[in-house]
Amino acid sequence: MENPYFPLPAVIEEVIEETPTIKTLVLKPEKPIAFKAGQFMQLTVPGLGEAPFTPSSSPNATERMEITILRTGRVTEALHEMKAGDPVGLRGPFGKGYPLDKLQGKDVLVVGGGVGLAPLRSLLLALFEDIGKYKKVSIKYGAREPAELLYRRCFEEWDKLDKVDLTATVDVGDDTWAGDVGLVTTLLKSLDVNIPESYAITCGPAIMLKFVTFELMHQGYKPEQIYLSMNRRMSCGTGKCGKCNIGPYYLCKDGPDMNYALIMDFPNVFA
Amino acid sequence: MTTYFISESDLTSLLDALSERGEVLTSRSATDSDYVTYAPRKKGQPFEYTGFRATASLKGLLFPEREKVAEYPAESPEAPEPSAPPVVVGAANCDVKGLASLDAVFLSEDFLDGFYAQRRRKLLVITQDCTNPRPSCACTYLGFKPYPEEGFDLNLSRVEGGYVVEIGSEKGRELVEGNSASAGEATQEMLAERDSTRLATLKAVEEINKDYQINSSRRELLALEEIQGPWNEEVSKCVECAACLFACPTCHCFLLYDQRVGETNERVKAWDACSYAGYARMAGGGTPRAFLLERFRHRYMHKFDYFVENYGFEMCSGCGRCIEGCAGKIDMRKLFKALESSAAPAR
Repeated sequence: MENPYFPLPAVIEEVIEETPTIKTLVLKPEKPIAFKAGQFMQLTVPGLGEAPFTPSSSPNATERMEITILRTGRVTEALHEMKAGDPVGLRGPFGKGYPLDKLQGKDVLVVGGGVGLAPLRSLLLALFEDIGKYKKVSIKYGAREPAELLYRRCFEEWDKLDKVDLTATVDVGDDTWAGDVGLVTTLLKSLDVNIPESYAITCGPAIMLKFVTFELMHQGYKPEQIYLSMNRRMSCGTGKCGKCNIGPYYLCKDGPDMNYALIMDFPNVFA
Repeated sequence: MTTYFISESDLTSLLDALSERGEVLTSRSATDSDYVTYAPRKKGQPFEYTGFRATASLKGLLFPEREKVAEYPAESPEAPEPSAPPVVVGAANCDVKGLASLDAVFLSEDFLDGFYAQRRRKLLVITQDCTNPRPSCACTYLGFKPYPEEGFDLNLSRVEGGYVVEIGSEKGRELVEGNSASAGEATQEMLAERDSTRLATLKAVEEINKDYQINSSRRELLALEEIQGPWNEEVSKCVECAACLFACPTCHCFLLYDQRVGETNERVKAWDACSYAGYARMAGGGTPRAFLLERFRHRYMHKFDYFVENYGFEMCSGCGRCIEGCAGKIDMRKLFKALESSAAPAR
């Protein structure tokens, strides 16, 4: 009998220290895993449990998968202790992924907060690899402090790409930082995108999603033009266990990236 | 379909023959209380007509409270076929209505849960008409009847000298027609006797529920977000024990957890309850429903709004187990009645 709960074995090939609180694990699954940008995996720490993560690597690379992890709970704590060569498990991919087809010919505004840039990176890599299909990609990113800027090593390269621009900000600056200081919402006040012909895609902590959404609407985005990565607690991945619903939607099955217009009227969307 | 009559002793032989399929569970009155339980049937044991559902629903037979669903690392990702008693005798209509909700979730085409599906495929359900309703019985309140009309393999209605046997599936037909125990066609008199007993029970359940009747749909009442009083009243009695959810034949939330056992790792699927504070808690501590009232309301929203949106029917069988099992004497019927009464002056 086929078992939807069995974790496919994978090995950690490399551990990249991204920031003091964030690491990227480069995984080699026993069999290649094809996924769409935005779909998520359940990553198992053997004997301890699994937690949901959207890969941060390109969906076009199936032999290896990168998962970027903030140390924040029981499973992520254990993942941060792991080393190259350690075994893990993977289930998935689950969910629908980002609406790439809808983004074609549009200005794509990507708004990230903290480790929220991790799932967005897989979207960005997918967009970059096919950049001809999109009008432009504008990236707005915020972190608590310069040391916590995720993928800072990539910023310069991304910003130089044709049709791509990136602006980052930090809540609190220091000597190493000459860029913007302030919450990521401050970057949304001077957007260089054609809003009626744009989609905004955002991922970050719940409180950030809330204020980004409100600021985007203030700037003229309609709820249908906003996609939120609602990476809540998800367990089964198949819309059955009930952990992740917002109204009649199961984020694991119908998301985790949800069109704001679909969920805006249900209770506790930004809780 | 033909409706049969079977004498008490012939029913015993028919049930005996079922033992060849594996364990047969049958409803039985508890010896020290007026509750009904399911117990493994012994050969030759006459069927005990309880006229009331068992305390436990059929949920646990198909979706156990706790079950190992994976062991890893392993050579093969395949799972062994789960085992379960293949025959249940004496279930009530609310039990088969409960199965309809679980089937909708676990047998949905997009993601089939094999652990449920394999058991469900094997399960044979022999139901009985209810004749002995209790104050918690709410089938008529949900628009159902105290006797099954679909969803069973065979249904038994007690009449003078034996049972009227209704066939509800091909599996059921093969059982009756392929068995040497003589089942003759039921006479008009027998059917009249059955129908009059059914009508009497239906009236009795309607009488039990008459004070709770509402004119709006439950979904409409849930949409009245401005009405807070009845919610506050009911939630103040909730002790978060989750008895309502675990006793519910339709509630199906679960949790996957892993544990190290000797040299191997096990993944366990266990019932969970959306009323628990930690139910949807995320890494880092945040939870979408931090307050009990939010979780309390969520349960009703799921059953009578979200589920209706997704599957087209209410996720409630009217069995009344949540009412019977509640330590705080919370009764969903009173809640909806109070919501309607609070709404009325405002309209």
